[in-house]
Amino acid sequence: MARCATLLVVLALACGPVTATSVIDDAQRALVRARASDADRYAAYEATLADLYLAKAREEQGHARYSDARALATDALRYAQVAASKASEKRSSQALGRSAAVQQP
Amino acid sequence: MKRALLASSCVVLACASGPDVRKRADAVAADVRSARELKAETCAPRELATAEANLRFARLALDQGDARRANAHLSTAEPAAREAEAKSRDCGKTVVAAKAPDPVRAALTVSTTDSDGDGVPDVDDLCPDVPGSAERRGCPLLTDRDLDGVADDIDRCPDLPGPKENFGCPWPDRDGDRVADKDDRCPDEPGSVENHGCPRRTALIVVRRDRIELKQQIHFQPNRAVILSDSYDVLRQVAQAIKDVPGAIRIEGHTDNVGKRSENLKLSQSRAEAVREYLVREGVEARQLVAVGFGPKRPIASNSTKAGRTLNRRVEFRMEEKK
Repeated sequence: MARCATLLVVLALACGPVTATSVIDDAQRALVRARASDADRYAAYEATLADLYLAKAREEQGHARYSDARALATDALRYAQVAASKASEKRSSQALGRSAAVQQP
Repeated sequence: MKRALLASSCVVLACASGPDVRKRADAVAADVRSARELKAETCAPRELATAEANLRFARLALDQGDARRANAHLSTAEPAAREAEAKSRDCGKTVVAAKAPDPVRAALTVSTTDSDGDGVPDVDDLCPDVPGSAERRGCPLLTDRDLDGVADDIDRCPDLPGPKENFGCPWPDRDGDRVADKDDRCPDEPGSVENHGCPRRTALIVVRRDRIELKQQIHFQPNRAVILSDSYDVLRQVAQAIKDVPGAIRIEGHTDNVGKRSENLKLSQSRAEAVREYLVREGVEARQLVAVGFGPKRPIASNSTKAGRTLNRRVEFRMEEKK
């Protein structure tokens, strides 16, 4: 019984780094995608926040503060996603505007 | 003793610095708020984001009991917040200047920017990043050689008319039937528009309740159980029909009465089996098919005429009755 409890505690503790790493990886990927859609130009606020939060999440993970790392990485992920969608929206609306302008004599 | 004193004074200082850092954080938070109110998210997005993020990091460090680190973050957040505020204030001014009641002054303020340097100020320039004449409102003169409505500079096929969805290129049409591959259900076989680009196929079989009736007989090499290629179409249709039928099918081979009876029996059996094999190759389940050779036992016409004998040499498909 005691062994089982110990094992459960160990497993529960071991989940921290795993989940934090996974969210950090997701945030990293989302940020790369956002950058690819020119988020630095079209959604600078969100892209900067995502970048800073991701860096801080990595730092917190390095200090083994996994719950803080995960919370920051989650926010980084959210901001990166918002940045990506905002950037692609702005780009497409700009492109539409430009083609409309070009068609006008 | 001295060491103990030093350590305790350090602890006291560290404890005392906590509330001070919190006060400093509150001050930075106020700066961030005011920058935000001035629309810093649009005017100074990077500065605002830096300030906000570092403020959050400072608070996090405080919660972790690390006042030194919190202070370091606030040292980054503080100037960023101020810069955001300052930039936003300027940014706001430009907007106000553009909306000022004095039209001459407003026009002068705005006309200072001309990103593409074409002499048309950005505010009047429909193409602010591409130089163009004032007559065309700052847009370049664009040609459209293929007259497809997609200007040549963005037309990937400037000499071939094509829709703008395909960047000015015509949709590919491999079989040349004038039905674009994207709409063509048979992109490698020419067909009509009405038939979605597929050729019209006449039905070579009729599926009855008890049998599959063939409109064209299956042809074999003389005296051999080798199916001729002109029968492949009909067999393919038979295969499709059998796949749609749940029950078993009996493939019956029949011959005329020319030659030895035993040989005819053997030939009809082999031909029925050849048909069965073909259908299995076409995807019909083998257990659904039974091949039976009847030889000359079941004629449907007189064997005394050539036409009658031709009719008697045949393959039939019968639905097996459920037991």
